Amino acid sequence: MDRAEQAGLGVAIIGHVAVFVALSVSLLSKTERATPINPPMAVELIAETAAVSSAPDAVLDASPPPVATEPEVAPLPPIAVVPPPKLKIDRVQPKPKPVAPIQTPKKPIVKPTLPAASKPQSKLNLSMRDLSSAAQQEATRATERAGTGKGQGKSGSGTPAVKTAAEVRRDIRVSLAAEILPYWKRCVPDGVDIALMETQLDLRINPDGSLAGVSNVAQTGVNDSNRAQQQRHKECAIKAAQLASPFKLDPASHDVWKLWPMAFKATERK
Amino acid sequence: MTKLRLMIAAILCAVAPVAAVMAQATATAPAPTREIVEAVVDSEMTIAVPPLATPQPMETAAGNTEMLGRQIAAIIASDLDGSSAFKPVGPSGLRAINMAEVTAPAFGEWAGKNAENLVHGFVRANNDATLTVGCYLYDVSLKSELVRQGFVVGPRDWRRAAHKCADAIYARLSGESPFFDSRIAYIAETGPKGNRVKRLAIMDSDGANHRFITNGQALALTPRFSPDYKSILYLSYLGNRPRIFIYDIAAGKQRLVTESVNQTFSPRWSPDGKSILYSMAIGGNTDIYRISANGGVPQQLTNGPGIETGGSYSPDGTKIVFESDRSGSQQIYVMNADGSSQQRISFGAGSHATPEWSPRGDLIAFTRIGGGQFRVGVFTPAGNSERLLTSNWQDEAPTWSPNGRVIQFFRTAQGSGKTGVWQVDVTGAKERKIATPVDGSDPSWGPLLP
Repeated sequence: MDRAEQAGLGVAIIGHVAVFVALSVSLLSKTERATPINPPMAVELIAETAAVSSAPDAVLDASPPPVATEPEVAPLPPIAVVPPPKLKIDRVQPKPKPVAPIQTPKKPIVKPTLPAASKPQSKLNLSMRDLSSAAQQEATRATERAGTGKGQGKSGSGTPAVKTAAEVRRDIRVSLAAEILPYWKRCVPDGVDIALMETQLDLRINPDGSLAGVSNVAQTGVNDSNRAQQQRHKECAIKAAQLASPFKLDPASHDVWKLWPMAFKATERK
Repeated sequence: MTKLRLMIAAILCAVAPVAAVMAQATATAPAPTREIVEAVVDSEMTIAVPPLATPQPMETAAGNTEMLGRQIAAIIASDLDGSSAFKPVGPSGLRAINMAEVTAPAFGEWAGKNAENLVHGFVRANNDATLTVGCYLYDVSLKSELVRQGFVVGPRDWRRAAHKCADAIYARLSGESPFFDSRIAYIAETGPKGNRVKRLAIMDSDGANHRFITNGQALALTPRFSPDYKSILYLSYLGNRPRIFIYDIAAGKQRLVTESVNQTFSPRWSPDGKSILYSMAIGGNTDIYRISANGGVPQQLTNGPGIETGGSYSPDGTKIVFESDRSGSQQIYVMNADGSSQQRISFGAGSHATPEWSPRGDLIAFTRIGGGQFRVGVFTPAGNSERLLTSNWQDEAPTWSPNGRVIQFFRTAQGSGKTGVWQVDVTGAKERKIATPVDGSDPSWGPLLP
């Protein structure tokens, strides 16, 4: 090692020591320093998922969010108790989706710009579309939640937040089952031990909610007594999905519901 | 080399937290669970049956083709109404269709009438005096054709064409085998209680083409069509002696199955029609025997104490279900066709009698006696899953439709003793009385007509 190298090595050692000291001082003093972070959000935990998923804005926005003034705050019109409508031929048109026969009076539904806000409208349409009473009640609850602002966050002025995957799935479950059920009920075959049979399939759904097809069709619970209904059971399951589509789904969540596994069952009459 | 190792270690340290976060995110997004759509089966399928079209109204031996189109549609609707699955609409109240519509239905119009399915067809008179009946079934919702069949029949068989069309529709929409195109033998009863005249009679499954076989001078009981419909096996008290006869329908003659000084009764065909089961009472002990349909030496199948009777073959002919009171009350037993491996299969409250094996093989129908009632029920060949289908004062002697889906039986009214033939779906739905010219008992449903 010559003289120059020794000098260089010394400079390097000194430099490293200086850097080490500087970093140590910086780290020790960091815990006490105030940082310009955002204030904590107020989050309300509720038992049920609201029809409109909302949370306070992380960045305050002076303009009111569109969902807060949506017309679905109007009370549910009496269509919720209208008996199941007659089968109409336009229901089988694959597209375009038939316009709901009854509109909310005086307050036309404005299509929300955010996907989360579209759910109440979807459920309102479900009640128009011959749903079971259970589905109607669900739609009523959803609309009431939307109407009262329940679940929209403490601030009440937030824009809808993007739904979690679990929330999207939960809403899809309500939507698809309720939309398919009336068609399944009208077709499902009767027979001994029919309650034991289950047809399972995966719905392949296009981004516009139309049915691209079904796959992975399988059946369980087949025995000597219900084997005669096996083919018809499967046929009716597929038919029910065909007639119920296009489904009212949020295109933004297509990845969540593009392949949707379903099972079809029947309960024997009493 | 050392530098390279240090770099790799540093990269791994940097990537690890990111990978952990990603793994956590994946864990919180499980695959969607299978969503269940479940419906209670409580509705009947609406099916529109307008009058069948005809290319040109023509007079035939069966009547005018335009009128036949109306009558055939009425039979189809009636048949479907008799099953548990359908709610037919028409033909009355519906407009007649034209020939062009037969293959190009006005789906929009029928959807407006709430029809989920639609029957179209035509009646055409052929040059050889036969009739061609076209039969089409459509799914109105999907606008798709489900059935397209044609039947060429003689003028006398125009009703069979209607039954065959109804069968095709029923089979397509229910998944079951057809059964409308079949016949029933039963005992026609007239006269006051205590002095009933009982005659052997036959009719179509819907009660049409009724015909008395015997004149009532001798008491007739328990008729059974042969598998080929050419003859009827039954019990006659001719000469005041209960004996089993085979009646040849075409020839109008009958012959004795077996001559015996003992009482013989409760005859049943084997599935192939080559042998006959019957019961014979000897000195207070009744056992089941088998004999060739052409006669010969009978083979005794049971030898237990008491009364053993009512043998009925499984559809494959390998087993026989029968009733016996060897346990102290009437109960149901199953044995091999040669009489071996006899096992009791009915338990529980009351007694069980008149077992009849389903043509499908999956169930055995019976009469359960108890609680002051005779009720018709079913259970599996192992005696499991017992279900009672009727609840009346006296329902008994079940017989299966050719497809094993419907059960006929006879009901006796309390007090008057009047009897009637009834039927019920094997699910217990759609119980209804079959129209007969006089009172009826002991129905026996034949197989599908050849």
